Amino acid sequence: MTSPRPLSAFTLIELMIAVSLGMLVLYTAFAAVRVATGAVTASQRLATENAMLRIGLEAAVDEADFWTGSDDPEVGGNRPLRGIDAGNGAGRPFTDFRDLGFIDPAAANATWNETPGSTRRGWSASPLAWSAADPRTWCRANVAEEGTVNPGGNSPRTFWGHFGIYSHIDPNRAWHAWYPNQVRGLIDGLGFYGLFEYLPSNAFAIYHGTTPPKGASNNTISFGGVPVALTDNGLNWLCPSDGGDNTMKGRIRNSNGSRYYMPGPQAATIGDARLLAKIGYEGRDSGYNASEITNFLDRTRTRRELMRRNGVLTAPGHWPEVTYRVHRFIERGHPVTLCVVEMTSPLTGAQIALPFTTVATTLRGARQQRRPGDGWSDPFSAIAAERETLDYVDLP
Amino acid sequence: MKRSARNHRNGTVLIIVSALSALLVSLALTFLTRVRSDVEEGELQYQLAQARVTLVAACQYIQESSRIGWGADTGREHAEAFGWIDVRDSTLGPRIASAGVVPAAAGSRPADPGGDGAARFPIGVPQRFDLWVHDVPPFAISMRAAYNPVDTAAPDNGRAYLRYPDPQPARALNGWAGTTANPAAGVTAANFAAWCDGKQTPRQATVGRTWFRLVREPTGAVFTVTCGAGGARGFRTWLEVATAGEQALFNNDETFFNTLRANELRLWYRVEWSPATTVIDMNFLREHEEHSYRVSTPTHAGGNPDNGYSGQQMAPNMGGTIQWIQRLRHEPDVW
Repeated sequence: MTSPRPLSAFTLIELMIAVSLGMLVLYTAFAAVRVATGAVTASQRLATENAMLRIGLEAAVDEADFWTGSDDPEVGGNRPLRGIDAGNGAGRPFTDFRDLGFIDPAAANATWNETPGSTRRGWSASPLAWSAADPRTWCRANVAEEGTVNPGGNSPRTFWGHFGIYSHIDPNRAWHAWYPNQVRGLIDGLGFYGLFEYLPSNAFAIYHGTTPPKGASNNTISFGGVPVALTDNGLNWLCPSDGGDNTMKGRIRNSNGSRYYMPGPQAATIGDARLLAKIGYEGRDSGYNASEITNFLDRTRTRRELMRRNGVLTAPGHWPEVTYRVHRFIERGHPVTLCVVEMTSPLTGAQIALPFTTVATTLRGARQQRRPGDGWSDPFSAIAAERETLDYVDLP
Repeated sequence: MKRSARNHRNGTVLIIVSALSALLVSLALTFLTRVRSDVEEGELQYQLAQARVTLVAACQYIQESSRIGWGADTGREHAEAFGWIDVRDSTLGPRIASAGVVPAAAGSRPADPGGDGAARFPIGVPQRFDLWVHDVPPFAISMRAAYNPVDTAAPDNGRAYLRYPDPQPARALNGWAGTTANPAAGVTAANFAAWCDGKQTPRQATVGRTWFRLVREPTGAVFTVTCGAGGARGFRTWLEVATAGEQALFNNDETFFNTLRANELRLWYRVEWSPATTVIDMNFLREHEEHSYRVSTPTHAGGNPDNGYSGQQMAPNMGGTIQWIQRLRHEPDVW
């Protein structure tokens, strides 16, 4: 009798178990690798998205500080917000004050005066130009004084006193001509956003004059009554109606129910620099129509291409595309720089928007960054021509 | 010796397991490196945000110091000043009330009679402002919201009483014992002084994060602002550090200081201060009828209590405004 042959291989049961366990191990290992690979891919994708967002954020902040989307000072740059309207001579937010004849030519040590014929009516960048101690800079209106009640309708009703006899654009009509000339020069030169940014925050945007502001549809002139060319000009001009209150107001109250806005380059018409955006409380005129907001965003949008050149995508198609836009407007007296960074993922379709506001270069700062024509100004350059800006010939 | 088939299998498994482990490790390392790199790249945005916040701090300093915080350093009273350009006579400020009014300056640059303005903040000389948070700022008020919560139990149910002072000093630094029967219990001159002084040691987590520097331009109200995010505490050079005797801040190590400087982010701006605050229009006045206003009676004098629509509370600003801001494209020579 022979002894049973020792086993030299797996039995079928053992083999099945071993194969099953082996497959389980392999599957687990494969799954682990796959998950790890997926995690790395996802992290790579998220890192790319983060990088894109960072680029968008930096571009938006850069735009907030340098305004190149509105006015590119480089040679051949797009500058639609400069120049003068051929029809009425009004300027745009980046129009050179020299082109408007609205610049103070005096040397730093020259004496201020308001005598008739004085050339010191234009814009001066010196902080002393609006010195509170100098009567030249005082608005003569008295908001608490009302003149004739006008019961019979045959005498001009006056508000804020007869300040036209003290302050008038025509120096032959009143002693003080500097203040009204500043207000009108800024309206004519820059439009409303520029006006309220350039005027000191306690200034009334008001004047009496025998010539209407440029670009106004209502050319009514004023000699001392209500300067309706400013206040009643279709209820869409300088002073918003705001509850039937289209009277002389300052920056805060004027931008309470409406917004003065910096037009984007796509809205570079003369009229766009002189429009109120009726959003907020004033939106009641249009029944709070959403189109007011849409129009506001369209008119104020400033941006440059980030990942495209002339509309053609220049980055890999699977990269998320990031864009940015900057909107500037005056809200209850405060200049607001609203930046929005937006990104769309081509893989997931997910959209991300990062809106934020920042304290940044103002319009006046941006104009002081720029030389007439091409180029950037340098306030500390030893070369006089390089210190020249859209606001002044030389540093005050 | 002949190796068995079992040994062969063990070796194969080891190789497979090792390969898989190596693969996983490499993927994990890639992941960690990517995350680390992301964080480092994000640091720039952090610094950018920090520097821009610092611009706001610099502007606030310019606004506040135009009117307050100057004068003789005797006692805790500081004389009011009248602006970087004096609103009374257009001279170079800040000049305090005791400095008399002089005839207005004629040109575009303010005169400096007596040298008061330049003495308080010289023209063209960089000033350094290292920023951190005090442990307890001077005159700090507690953030507690309700010292007198409405009781929900009898006999005081639903009644708001003013048993306890509201507000009170932070951390009870004035030493008050909290006994309403004795409002003076625990309060001494020394305790009151402690509250006035606060605890001006810096909170450690806030040190070495940010700073700004100012250079005043000859026009008196325009400043070059340098906003920094980083650990060099606002020093521009090691020579500045040595001159200030602050080498210990950097372990007496110039290389360490230079490394900190190299990792900083700096932005340069010009800003102009204006004494103007708010226009006196209808938010300060009561509308009499359409187009016409009457001066409001201040609410503290028994006038219209409708605080939302009239009075100075609409614009509580005593420090003027920043007229414009201009980012500089290049580092200026003097900052």
